[in-house]
Amino acid sequence: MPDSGEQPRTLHVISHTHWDREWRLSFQRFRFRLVQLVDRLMDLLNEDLGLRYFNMDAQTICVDDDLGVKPASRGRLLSVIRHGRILVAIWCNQNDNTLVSGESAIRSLLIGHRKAEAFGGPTAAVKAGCIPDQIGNISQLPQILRGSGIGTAVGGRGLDMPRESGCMEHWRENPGGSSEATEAGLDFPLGAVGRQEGEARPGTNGHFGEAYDESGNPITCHDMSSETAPDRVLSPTAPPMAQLLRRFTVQIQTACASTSFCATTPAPWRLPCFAAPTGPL
Amino acid sequence: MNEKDPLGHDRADGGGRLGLQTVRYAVLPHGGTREKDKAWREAHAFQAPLRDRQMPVAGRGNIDHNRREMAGVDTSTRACYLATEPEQLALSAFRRARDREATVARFWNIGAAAVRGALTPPGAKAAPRVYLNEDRQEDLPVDVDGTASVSVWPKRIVTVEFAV
Repeated sequence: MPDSGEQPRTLHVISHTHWDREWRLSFQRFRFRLVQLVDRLMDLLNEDLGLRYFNMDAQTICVDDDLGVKPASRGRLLSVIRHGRILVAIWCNQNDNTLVSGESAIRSLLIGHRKAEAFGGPTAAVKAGCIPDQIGNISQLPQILRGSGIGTAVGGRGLDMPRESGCMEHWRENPGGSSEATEAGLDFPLGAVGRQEGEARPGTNGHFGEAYDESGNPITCHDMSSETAPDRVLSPTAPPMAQLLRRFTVQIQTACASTSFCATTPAPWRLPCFAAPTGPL
Repeated sequence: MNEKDPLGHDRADGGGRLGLQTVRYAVLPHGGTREKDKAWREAHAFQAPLRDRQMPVAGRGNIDHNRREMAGVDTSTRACYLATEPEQLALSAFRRARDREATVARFWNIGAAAVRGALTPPGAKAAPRVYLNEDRQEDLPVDVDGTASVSVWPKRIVTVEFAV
């Protein structure tokens, strides 16, 4: 850590994957990669106890798809999930909100929560709406997440916060009237994170860091392995962290999403407010 | 040969259906707002059209139609599971609760003004409002006709459980 005399801040590192179950490759081809990811992740978790959390893109279906190929691994994988080191809630699977009905999003949350509980994993630790790659976000998503006890969310694609507001966080206003919605708890904070597909590049998203610097809050960064095995996962002992340590005076803490956002999200009146577009549920 | 699902389609391997897909779109020109012109009603009818299905009446056995008519038994092929008012309350789900003997109905107020909704589920003994995860909230007031009433703000989703 550099000796700058600066009070160290806490850097929350969220290690996760983003997993498209089926996209540019077929389901089974992506599943082949998923099995490799889980195998590699289990090795990493075994080797590095400093890696306290890994978020499986908030999809329980990744566990089902992996265990469908390797049923003998069930006990070992569920043991890690029960200890909260692999986080699988809140969705059953990430769906494209604009292609399916709103009811599908509700069912996915319902099934995801129950599956995570059946696996024995903590759901409270991941009570943050993970919407990384939904292309577009439906107007009622804040209300749907609120209805499942989720009060904040983090997203990537489709938010474009830096261009719209110069800020990586905003307050999403549900259709139906701000004052009423606020009273009913329907508005909620939504953070946007930059994404680096395919590899973990800690600290390279400068704007993300600046936004938190200005608000005086701790820094959060995320480490993602998309569609591939996590071979460069961030943890306090992983080599890529050295690069980050040269730039910031920080204390590093691996975090799950809700921990990070509870710690870093500014009060709502400090955030720009955007009204969600109206339209069908 | 691929395995078939109950509708005779090729069963997928857990992924999407690869190959040629046919999609139907509908365009509805209208001059006013979505609410004023009730365009939502046309869209709903297109996306989820009402379809008739002849079903046996529960508890009446397999007595054939003529014998039931002669016996004065109700032979209607229609049954009302839920009546709702006003029409701004759009039904988005109606199904069994996931872990108890109850039916769950989900609505949302499609209009721009708050409405007082009236829900009449025949035979329901109670109508608790529930969260989206089906945890129970407060019981809705039910009048002597068995109609539960609930205030619904614009664009608000409301989920109600009916215990029968």
